[in-house]
Amino acid sequence: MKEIDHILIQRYLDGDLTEKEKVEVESQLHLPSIQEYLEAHQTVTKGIQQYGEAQARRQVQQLEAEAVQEETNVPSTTKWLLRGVAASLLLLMVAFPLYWFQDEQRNGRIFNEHYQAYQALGGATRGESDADLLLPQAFTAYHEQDYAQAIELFIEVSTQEDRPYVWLYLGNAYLSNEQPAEAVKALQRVLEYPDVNRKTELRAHWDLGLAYLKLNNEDSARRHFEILQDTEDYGERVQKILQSIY
Amino acid sequence: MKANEIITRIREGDERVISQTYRRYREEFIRWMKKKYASSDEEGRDYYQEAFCRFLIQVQSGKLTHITSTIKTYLFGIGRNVFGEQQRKNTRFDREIDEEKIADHYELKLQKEEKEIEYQLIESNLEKLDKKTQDLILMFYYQNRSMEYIAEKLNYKNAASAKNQKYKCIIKLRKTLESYKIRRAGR
Repeated sequence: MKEIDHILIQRYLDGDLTEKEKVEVESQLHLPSIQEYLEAHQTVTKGIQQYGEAQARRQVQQLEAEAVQEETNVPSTTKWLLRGVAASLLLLMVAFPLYWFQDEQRNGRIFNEHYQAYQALGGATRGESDADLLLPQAFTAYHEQDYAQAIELFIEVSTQEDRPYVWLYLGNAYLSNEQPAEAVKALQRVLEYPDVNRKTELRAHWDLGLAYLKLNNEDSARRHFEILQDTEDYGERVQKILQSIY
Repeated sequence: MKANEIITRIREGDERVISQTYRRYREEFIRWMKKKYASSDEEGRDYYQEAFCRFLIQVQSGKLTHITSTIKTYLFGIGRNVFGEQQRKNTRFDREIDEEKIADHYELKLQKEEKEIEYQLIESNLEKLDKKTQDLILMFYYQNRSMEYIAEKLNYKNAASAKNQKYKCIIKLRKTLESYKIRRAGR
């Protein structure tokens, strides 16, 4: 076949022929040379699709590698517990390092100075799901400062209501209940939502900063506070905190 | 952001949304696999990667443009299928070996391998293309985009101009394949 015929077949394959041209090509589809061409074309297009899919696979592998990397940077509760035990033993064995104590005291002081439970509650659009029955109960428990109960209820809500504000309140309830490591996990979920609104996102960074301070993890706390330093709502407070911990 | 908006943005190649969507369900998926199928953490991670990858390919190729459930339900559904396939594969393995002893699948296997080599040849030649042509080819044959869309996105003068470039490239790829087949036949 001549090159021009190939182009005609190519246009046929792309659905780009006039009725007359289409009839002409279809009358020759049985010819071995055209069959051969079609087979080669199929191989080429399949090869291209495989290439696209391979790129998608590489992208997912990269995302997984980043997620694993982040996991190793954020120790789990168990790891924190083990580290706490190890640190306690060490402290019993050697003299209590004053500077560490001072840092912890200072971070605790900053936390107490700046941390407060949320005042404004709600804001979610209500429907008629199971989560709607649990949410008012969770908010009531939270408002009444029964944080253990609020945590339990927000965890249950989180399995039904797939929204960032649920994790934000859960994180804050953990923080109010003196469980900063759990608070970190819940608050990080807030940031994973592609559609998280700006206000919720900033609040999550603020609470994460305070939770890390409570955990005496100044580096992580600083990273979250630095995100907030130019914002209207948090800028001033964050500047003060950053000056204290630098 | 609603599920279908996420799908639209993923199809548009929004890497931030892809990354956030991946992270958003990962941990929960692994926990769910552990609880439902007693998978190890490592297996859970593998299943999640595979499930997300299939979801990503469906969206990128335009085969999935909207869903009526949530992304989470959809992803977990794929996960369930991936798990099922893996289980079936594991249990089928011994039987296949027996069948292979009886029926001679050697020829079929060779043909399949040969096809894979041809696909790889195409893939390696795509790697050599300049970025714009590569995007053009992928957008048309992998993402199933229209020529009008491609011309606008890649700054071609018009759809006809993009189409012309595509024809040239496809003919080149086909010729590479033909040369390979001639060389192989001469061996």
